[in-house]
Amino acid sequence: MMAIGDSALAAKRPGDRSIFFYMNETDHHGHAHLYRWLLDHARQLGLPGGTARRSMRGFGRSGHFHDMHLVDTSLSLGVQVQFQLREIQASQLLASLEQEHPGIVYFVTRTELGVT
Amino acid sequence: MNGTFLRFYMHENAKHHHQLLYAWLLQHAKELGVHGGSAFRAIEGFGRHGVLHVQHFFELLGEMTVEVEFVLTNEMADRLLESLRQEQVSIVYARTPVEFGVTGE
Repeated sequence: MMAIGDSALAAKRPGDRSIFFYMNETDHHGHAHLYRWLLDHARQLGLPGGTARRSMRGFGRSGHFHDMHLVDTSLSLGVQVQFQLREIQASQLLASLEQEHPGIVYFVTRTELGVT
Repeated sequence: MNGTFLRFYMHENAKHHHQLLYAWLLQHAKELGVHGGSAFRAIEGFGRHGVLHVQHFFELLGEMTVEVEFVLTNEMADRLLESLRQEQVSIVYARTPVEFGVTGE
């Protein structure tokens, strides 16, 4: 038998959102790395989680290619930070970034969140 | 702004025009006028050929799966896919409608 909370999670919620942000590993906000600041900012907003991953090769607004080498000491690769959120949490996160104004490229897509 | 999230999946050692396919795809997209793209390496996976690839310590052979992703206008996504058809290069892709932008703008 399902508890009320479980059935709410199991129900289809097309209003859920995936948000992906793209930045360079070397970008800063204040004294912190931007990707770390973003994760910490989201945590302080009370969002349930977020993941940062480093690309192995890519290019961005600068037009330059960034590459990962076997022993990489330059650490200037692209970083993607992603969040899986309820619609209201997604709006809250984007609104908070409007005020902070770090200028991060992002996109949002509809998704369905659940727990198996 | 409405757009497309386009993801491609390939083997790390797959080649096109004597170049690594993921590197060629990024360069090709850039030449088409795409503003950004990223390649990510999987740590384990399986694909069309049914072989499970696992990364080992100091893996030099490049057997792992690579995901190359772009966030594009719908028109640019169409152009990129059409150009790959013309190049006759076969890559598995996933296309998702998205809203994109820059924070604070």
